[in-house]
Amino acid sequence: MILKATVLLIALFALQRVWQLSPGFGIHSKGYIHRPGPCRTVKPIQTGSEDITLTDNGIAFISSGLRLNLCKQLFDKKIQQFTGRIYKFNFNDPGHAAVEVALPRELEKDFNPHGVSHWKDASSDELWLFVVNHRKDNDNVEVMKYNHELNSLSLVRSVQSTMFTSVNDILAVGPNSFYASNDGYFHGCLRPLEVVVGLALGSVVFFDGVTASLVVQRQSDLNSMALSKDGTRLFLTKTFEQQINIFNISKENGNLMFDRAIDVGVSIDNIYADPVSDDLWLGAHSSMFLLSQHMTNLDVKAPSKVVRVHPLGLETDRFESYELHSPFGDDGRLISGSSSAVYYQEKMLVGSISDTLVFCDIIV
Amino acid sequence: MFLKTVAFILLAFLVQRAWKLSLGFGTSDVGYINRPGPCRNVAPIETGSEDIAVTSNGLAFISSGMQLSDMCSSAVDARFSQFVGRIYVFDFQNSKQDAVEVSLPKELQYNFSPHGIDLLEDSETGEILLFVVNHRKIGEFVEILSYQPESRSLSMVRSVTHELFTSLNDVLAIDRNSFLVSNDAYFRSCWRILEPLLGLRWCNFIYFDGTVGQSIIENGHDFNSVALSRNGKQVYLTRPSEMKLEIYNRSKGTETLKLHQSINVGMAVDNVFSDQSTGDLWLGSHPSLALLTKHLSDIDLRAPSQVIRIQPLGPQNDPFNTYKLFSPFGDDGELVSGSSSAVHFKDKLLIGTVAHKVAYCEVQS
Repeated sequence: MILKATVLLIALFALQRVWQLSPGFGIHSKGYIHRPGPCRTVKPIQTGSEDITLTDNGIAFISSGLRLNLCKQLFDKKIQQFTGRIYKFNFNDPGHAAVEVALPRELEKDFNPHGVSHWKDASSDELWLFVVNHRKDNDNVEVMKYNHELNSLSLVRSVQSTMFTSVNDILAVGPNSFYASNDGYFHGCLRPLEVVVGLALGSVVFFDGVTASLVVQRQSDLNSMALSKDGTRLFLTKTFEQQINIFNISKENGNLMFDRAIDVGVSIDNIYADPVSDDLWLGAHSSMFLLSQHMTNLDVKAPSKVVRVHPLGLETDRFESYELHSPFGDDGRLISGSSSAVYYQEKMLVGSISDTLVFCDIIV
Repeated sequence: MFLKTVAFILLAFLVQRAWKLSLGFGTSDVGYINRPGPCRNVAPIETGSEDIAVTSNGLAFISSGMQLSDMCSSAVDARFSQFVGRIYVFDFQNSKQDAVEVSLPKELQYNFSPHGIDLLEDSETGEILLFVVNHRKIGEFVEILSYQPESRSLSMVRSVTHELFTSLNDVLAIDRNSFLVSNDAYFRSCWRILEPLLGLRWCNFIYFDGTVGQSIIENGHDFNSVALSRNGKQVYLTRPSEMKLEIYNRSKGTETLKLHQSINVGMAVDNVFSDQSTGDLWLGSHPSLALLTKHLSDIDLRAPSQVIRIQPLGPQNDPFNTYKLFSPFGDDGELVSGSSSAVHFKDKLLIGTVAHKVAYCEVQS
């Protein structure tokens, strides 16, 4: 009798998980092709461009060569051969290829980059790059200074914390301070189980330069972060739930207070907040099902999509109402597994987890 | 014990039906806005533009004002009974002009609820013949009308009805007297809701040769729109609930059709337009049948719209052997709700809807 009840409970739970995961899984979603203008891949990137950070004068820094440390057996073996790099792309000179940026010596042999962010000093023009680095032992946040003339990065500090369980993205809010999102807890092959069962082991950490504190806890499916134009709100993406969570930031201690959630209708990855218009640009996966097949075998194409959330609300509550645009869609042949998108002066850059980088002129 | 078994079987059947239906129903499907270029509405159309047919010179005929109230009035907005059935003409070559209403023959005034539309152009005389599905009060008809361009009027050539016409949707003209026509259901009344729910296959696809009507595809469900390939050798048929575009090989003369290929388009497709210059197929589509149903029960509720283009990449004798799917237009329902058709003419697009407006777009990307 107890056995029957237990079996039934497990079956019901499994059914409920399938139901919750299925909209994001997109088994029958198609990757329709549509462009905002002429689009092309950016040389020489072919092994990923997972995240992109864009300065206010149109310089994009791109993390490339990510080797996800989550159950390696599930992924294409070719991914383990990828080399972690940072590339630079200039929107003001888009005809040029992306240029590799020299890494600090300490990181040359231990660099597996994921989310990136930057901080620019308004007066001195100094630029710091913040990169999530899945080092061999831990996840670190590397804070690096960029040298324009030498096109190189020097390590300022390497931040470690026991609160960094599985860091995905980083959001710099000062030369020394940042938010880091943990997309889960387990590494290795317990991670798929964590996702399937829906364990809420993700979190967001705030590092003020000295100490780290948990500002969001007991959440699942957390991915990427961006800051609003006025610096008072933080946007956090949830992939399978297809949502952007908006938080108000406390000026005193960096704490986050949940404000509202926006349903985007597709499995979103990284988010970029346009400092000029307030629009949110997202790399998205039309089908997580096809994405998982692509990650297992890179020759299988995964459909890509860019979503732009255009706020229509007043200053006090910008996203009270909004429009959802999709300026870019691909069947995976130009770019598979789009994870990020940034916009600058009628041009767009689209990054992917393990594939190419695409540049588009926006004419419509 | 017996009762339990029956209840269980019924439950299992309902779960299976729900699963099969849910694929096309798109409860979570959002209408993302995307444009191929500048787009705007075309005045004065506001009460539907369900289907569109275009001449080789870019003259588009639009069926408008279909009164869905004969299709289970309790399920649709009461305002449908006030819709007036019309044919509009829009000139792609003079796109700044509004669409103009075409006057109907006397027999059809107050007796016109138009649905699918097709046309024939006589290459010698230049005569344009319109074939229009008309849901008359007394039954299902295909009206064959001749267009008089000077008076912008239509004169009645012939009115065809048949016992096999149960719930007509779209028509494909073969010659002056013959056509293919699709039934999208068996019942015209509220009973029609049972057909997809129970998976009933009581629809057929009909060939009328001028005298005799016969089923050329039987025991189907949800036959929606029909179009012809450039070379006349293939017939395209849409199946909205299965999100499919079916391709049949056609034997000219006997009009026998043999299923050759089925393309899963990934959303509920409505009318299909076969572009004679490129061989592309253009589809008006519904990202969410759930939201479309809500829109039809209350016209003020927006239904997302999408246009899909299927580009053939295969050889001459099997063009869709490989293909690419494009989506040049998407809307959240504000510009156009419930897009049911899309026609393309020289880098311009006209998008029709079941019960809303029309959109005209320049295709720049």
